[in-house]
Amino acid sequence: VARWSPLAWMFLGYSLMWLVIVLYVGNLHRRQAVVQRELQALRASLGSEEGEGARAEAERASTR
Amino acid sequence: VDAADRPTLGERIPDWLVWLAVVASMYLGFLYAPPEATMGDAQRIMYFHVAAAWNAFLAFGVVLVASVQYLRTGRPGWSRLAYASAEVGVLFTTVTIVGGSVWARAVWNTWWTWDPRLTTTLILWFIFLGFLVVRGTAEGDVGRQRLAAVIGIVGACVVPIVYMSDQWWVGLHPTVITLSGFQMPGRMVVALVYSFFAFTLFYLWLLGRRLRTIAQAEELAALRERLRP
Repeated sequence: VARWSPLAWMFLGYSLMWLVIVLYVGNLHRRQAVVQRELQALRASLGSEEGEGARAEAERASTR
Repeated sequence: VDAADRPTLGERIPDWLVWLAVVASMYLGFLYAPPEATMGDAQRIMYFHVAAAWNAFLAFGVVLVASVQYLRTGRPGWSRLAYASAEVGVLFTTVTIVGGSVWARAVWNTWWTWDPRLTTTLILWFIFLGFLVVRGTAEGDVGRQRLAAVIGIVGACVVPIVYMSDQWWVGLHPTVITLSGFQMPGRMVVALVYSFFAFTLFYLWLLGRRLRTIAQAEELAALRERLRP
């Protein structure tokens, strides 16, 4: 088995650590976009007075 | 503006500042800090590895405070904070384990060994994975949210054990930070301390975004529940 230089191990280490970070941040952005889109769509469909009331109630529940 | 849309502290930190800080920490670790005498460049993995580990501890400390507060007050905001912080803590613990494993392969010639520090870190990681599973399936279920809070408190109590493990038990893991300070040359200390700063900024940035997503997801679920015929 060829022995890697310390520099090669350093690059492998940083590459894998960055891979973990980038995968997580990418996934976080995706989740954020999906939730935001669905929330906006639902809010848009709640134009009626009843919908506004429901929204305010849901908002109160989520911020308590 | 809806409550769930209000920017959190972490969201006020600009993206460019966070990425610049993290990239600058790589610059200091790669070019400013001198190479270690025996390990050479492989030792530079430490600047991300240790900074990620310390921020995982910070994240789990926030879980502890938020979980205690949630059990005390019952306010869902604390549970959300614990959930968001635990997720970021698990990310940083994963980064710590991955970087440490590559470093171990370079220096110890093995990817993994059951050293006290490594073993306790793995236990910590599993406890918080358990927390995420329980809290992630606890939407609207106060009982499960309380159970998650208890797991979070137990997990956070493992943090001091992880920190002290290499002093309590005989192991291979090097100790670079002891109660008496940093055990390394000055330029390495500068690079490491800066990495702590950059990762703390990164932690706050991630926490803010995750908190917002959790709050919006809960608002969405509450709206759907309200509109169900």
